[in-house]
Amino acid sequence: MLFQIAWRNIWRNKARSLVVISSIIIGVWAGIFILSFSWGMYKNNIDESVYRQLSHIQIHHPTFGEENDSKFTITNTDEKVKKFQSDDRIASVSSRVISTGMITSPTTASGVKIYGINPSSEVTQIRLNEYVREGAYFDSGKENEILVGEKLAKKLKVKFKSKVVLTFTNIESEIIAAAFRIGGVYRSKNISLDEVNVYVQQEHLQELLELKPSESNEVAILVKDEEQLDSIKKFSVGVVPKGKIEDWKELSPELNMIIESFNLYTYIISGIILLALTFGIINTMLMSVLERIRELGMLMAIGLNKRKIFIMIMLETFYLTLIGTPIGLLTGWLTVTVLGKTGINLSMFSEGLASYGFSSIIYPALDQEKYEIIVTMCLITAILSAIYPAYKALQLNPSEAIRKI
Amino acid sequence: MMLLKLAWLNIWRNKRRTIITATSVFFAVLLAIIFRSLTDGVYDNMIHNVVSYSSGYIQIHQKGYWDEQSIDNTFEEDQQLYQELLKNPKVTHIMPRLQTFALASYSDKTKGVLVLGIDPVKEKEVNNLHDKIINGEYIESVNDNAVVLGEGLASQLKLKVNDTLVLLGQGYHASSAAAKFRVKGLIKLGALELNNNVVYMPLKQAQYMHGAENRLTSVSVMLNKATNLEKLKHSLQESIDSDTYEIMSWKEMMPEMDQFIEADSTGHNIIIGILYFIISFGLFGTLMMMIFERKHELGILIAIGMKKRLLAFVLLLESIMISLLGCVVGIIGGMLFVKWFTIHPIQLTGELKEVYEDYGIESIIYFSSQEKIFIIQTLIVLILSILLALYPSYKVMKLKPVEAINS
Repeated sequence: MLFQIAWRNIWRNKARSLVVISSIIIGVWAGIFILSFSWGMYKNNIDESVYRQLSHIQIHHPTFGEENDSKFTITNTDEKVKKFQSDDRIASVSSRVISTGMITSPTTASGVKIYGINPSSEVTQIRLNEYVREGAYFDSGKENEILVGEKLAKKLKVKFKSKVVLTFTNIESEIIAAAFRIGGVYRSKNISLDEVNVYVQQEHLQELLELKPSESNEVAILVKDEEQLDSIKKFSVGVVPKGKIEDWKELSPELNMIIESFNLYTYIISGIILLALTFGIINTMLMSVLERIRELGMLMAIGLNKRKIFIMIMLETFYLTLIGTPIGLLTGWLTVTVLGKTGINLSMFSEGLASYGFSSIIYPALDQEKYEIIVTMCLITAILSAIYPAYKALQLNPSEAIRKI
Repeated sequence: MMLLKLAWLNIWRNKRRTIITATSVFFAVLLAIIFRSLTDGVYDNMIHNVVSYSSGYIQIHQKGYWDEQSIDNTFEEDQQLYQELLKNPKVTHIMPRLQTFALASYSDKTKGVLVLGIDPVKEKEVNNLHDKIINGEYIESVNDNAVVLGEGLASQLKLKVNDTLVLLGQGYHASSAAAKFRVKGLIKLGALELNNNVVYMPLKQAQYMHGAENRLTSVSVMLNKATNLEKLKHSLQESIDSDTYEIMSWKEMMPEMDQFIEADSTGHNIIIGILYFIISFGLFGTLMMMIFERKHELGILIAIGMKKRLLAFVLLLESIMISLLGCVVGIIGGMLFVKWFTIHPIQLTGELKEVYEDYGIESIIYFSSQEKIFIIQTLIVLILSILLALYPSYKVMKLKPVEAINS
């Protein structure tokens, strides 16, 4: 009986019910959108670092990380790289020779990290070629070509085709100075790295360092599916038994900080949103109860006891929530699916970003578990916020309530 | 005037309804303020910690230094400049520095390093440098004849406390700068770049080594967290001689950090947009209920000859009054909230605390108390609520008195 009364009650005053239903729809939708959006934002940061800088896995000689000296190499790299390439779980592999030293232009000097790369393999690895702003990506055919960051070029006051000198020590600890010509200027999104990383042809750097052509300092691997990261790590141990194998989480503790902060602030932000939702619902329900004082008083007078009135109001809220939640879920899911494909370009919303020439496209995404959490949280919030108005209704005195307008 | 009085009487006629609506506005203002204050606070805290190790909020150089960072572009230490800077009440500390690039050697290892000539006492007041020492001791005064090294740098050079470090660099006016120093302590810094590269040296020693007595590359200025940077920069710019000095804010010196914050806060703007949306909907629900409840009453008023236009205006006035009430209480609530958490900050715990501390960032949730947050957020909510209040007025214009009275 009560179920029916409650059901009819909510349709008696359609406008009021629609307000509450819409509040719930918006609550669910907003919850989904905000979480998926922040997840997309944070994912964007991680992907930027993983795909354009770190790669999923890096392998070094065990002491290379501490000493930063080019003489600690992985031997027979070509063979190993081939082994990795033949595994179809791996998207891309490249090897690098790394040295630290100083770059000198006619005006000034600066400390740099010199990467000896295979230009063709980095096209699929960190896609360095996409960042080249001036000049070209290793196409002159000359072995002494160097790619420098825009920020470094500005600091050194050099341009495309300028000459620079790199000074560093070879594996015999002798100081080597070699002249290079700038073949291209690049700009990545991480400007502070642009100032220190310079790229040259691997073979040329190997010669200068007196390394054997098959030796390199770093092997970087991009996997196709991140879930297979651990199994590929194990596989790598078989290929490079003596190497130190690290995944991106170990390589960059900063990313860890981003993840942790993300979690914390997402909870706080969702809390604030839910709070706002709660007040919306409490107010509307309260109004609706108080508006119906006369009617509720009448019900009491004809014998509906207080417990039943309470249940009736709770049932009404429950129905309203039940209608609102699926719609909210659906719109939320649709928004995420559509925006997940098209992306949201942040620089559209900020002049500051546009003036930096920064374009960051965010793809909202959310896993199923989060959908469930949001729905449960909104359900609980909606039901909880009905308690106060229902409790208010309990305190009515039937005879007084009827007399009120 | 009559209408104003009518509106005022109306809102107090049904206290309950007024309070509910005002509460909606109150919470809207409060939540918007808390949200903005939290997100801005996180940045303020981050910026504060980063700049206290690096450039300071604002740096003063010899004109032309930033474009050509050479020791020849230094300026004479000037007590008058210090006084001028400290006169500004927003300025909390100033840190004179001589910053150069040099080669550091120990046994057979050589590495390019950043040499920071600092005033150890002033520096530690700002960033608690002495707490970050993991081995040995901190340098005590500007005259101390020893250096402190980043822990990462020390391990690359394979050097321990009390070993002797040889530094070779370029001195003032093309003289050569070479000196050896006892390593007094090792320091662990969160920023990897500093940790692997920095040599802290007492200012006087650094000046002596470079043959640049009494000369500085920069004076870093520290401010309160919640200071309006641009305004302060302008007021400082006017108080110092702009022909000799250039003045730069961290935004100009570290555009990548500014860019990162800008990107992140754009994301937050989208989220806060959704918060406004929810808030407006809550408010809208309340207003809609109100118009339902009063249909009868409004119908009668029109029937006895009140012009619809005037009635709509009265309703608008009522809404504005209620919104103002909610805003005023909300802004007070927001201030109290922020004040409370500024005095008793929330400490982070667990893994996050460690990660933050590794980075040398205070592990607290800090709420920003910039006035601009309070003003802007309140204004936004006020405007939203006034826009929403147009709805009841619109309803009145379309009201059919006969139906309304009968309902």
